[in-house]
Amino acid sequence: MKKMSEGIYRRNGMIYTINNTDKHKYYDEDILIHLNNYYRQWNPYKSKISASIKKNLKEIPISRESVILYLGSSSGTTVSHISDILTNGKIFAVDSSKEMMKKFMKLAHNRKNIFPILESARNYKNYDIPSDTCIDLIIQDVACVDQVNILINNSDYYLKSKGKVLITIKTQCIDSIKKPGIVIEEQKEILKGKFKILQTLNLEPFEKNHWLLLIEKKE
Amino acid sequence: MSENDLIRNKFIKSVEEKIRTQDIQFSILKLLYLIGLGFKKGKTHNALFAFFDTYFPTILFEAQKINKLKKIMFETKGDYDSLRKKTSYSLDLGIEKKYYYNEISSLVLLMLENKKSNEMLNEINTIENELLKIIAPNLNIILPNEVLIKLLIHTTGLKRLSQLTGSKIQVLGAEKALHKHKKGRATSPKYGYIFEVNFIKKNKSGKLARHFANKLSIAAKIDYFNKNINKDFIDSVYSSPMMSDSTSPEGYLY
Repeated sequence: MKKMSEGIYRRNGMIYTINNTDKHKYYDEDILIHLNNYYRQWNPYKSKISASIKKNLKEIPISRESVILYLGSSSGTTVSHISDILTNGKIFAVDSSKEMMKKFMKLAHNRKNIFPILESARNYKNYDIPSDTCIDLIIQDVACVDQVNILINNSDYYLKSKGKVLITIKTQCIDSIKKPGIVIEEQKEILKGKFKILQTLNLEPFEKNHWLLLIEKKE
Repeated sequence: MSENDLIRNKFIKSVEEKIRTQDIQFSILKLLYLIGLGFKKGKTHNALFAFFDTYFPTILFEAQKINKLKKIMFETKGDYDSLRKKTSYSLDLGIEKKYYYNEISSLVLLMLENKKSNEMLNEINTIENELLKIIAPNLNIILPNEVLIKLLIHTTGLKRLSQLTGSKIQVLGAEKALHKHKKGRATSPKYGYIFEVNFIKKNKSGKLARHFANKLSIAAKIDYFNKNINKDFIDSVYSSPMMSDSTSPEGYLY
């Protein structure tokens, strides 16, 4: 096992996180037992964050104690791996769908660092997050037309200055007629007012027409 | 318990409450429709899935396969408390709000045993009537139950139905004919689910169907924003010159 960053390991080209709970599986992922630790395989075809790590993300902004706001948690495949990494941190998972939240509650009961929120990401003032919490990182995975504006609203309200953001953009969802390269440049220019863009990644072999941006909030 | 756990429990409880109360009446209505299909055509799978989805969603995720669910249902005989013990965590309905649980669980058991009787079908109808009066009081007066339930299920609830235009509501349920028309192989469809309304069936007029569908879209909007019966609107439906010949002696359109 080779350590990539805090809590993330690599072996034979696959990425792993260590499981901390009694229940070893959440979905049908592969498990590898090494030195009495249960390593859960983080599949890049199922999770966009894992795909970005495979495509050489410059820095992984997740540490043991970071507090994360995750917009668009869905059924929670990615959230389960991030919760493995955070031993002293918290993750607030937001989703608007009732059906997805039913599945997600199974995960939320087992893990002590997950805080579920059933709310649309547009109504960012209704989350009821305690006022003394300071959020270090926002991860956004909602596929909709005004997703950049949603991110700006959320980050203005919750994110600390110089906090990092990982945003995945599905270009077909914003404009299906224009070329993906042009759409991503347009979205970048909207972001440039409030953020500093550190890296842009095309997730091509794993996801078609998907891009991931690593950005930092200006002071 | 640490402070962190207390805050976390607060979040979990608020989410569970939202899941429970969101559209519970509509999901029971859908369940009853599927049970009705199970009695008539012998297709029990969908009804069983829907039963666990509305009352015990956690058992559905853990068991997943239809044979396991059947086994659980026969073992417990649909008893609420013994089913609650089977889950690792619960989305319980509370003591006061059981939402027709006893009636529906007995219906599901009879459906699985293939015992069909007229009393059961009557019981389904009575519960449906009660629910429809709460969900959509104005639409309930204008439309027969079967048509209204089909419209609601097709559009996944009153919210979506209230956003549709009259011309869309007119052809709901006639998608096959609509796509054929769009490819240029046929004339446009005049009516979908609405065809089962008696006076449209009798007259077979597209103009009447269009006029009626427009009224439906207004009624859906009234129901979504205000749950009371609007007498002025209903009078205007009955008194319009196009519909005046079509009313039955009791005063109902259908």
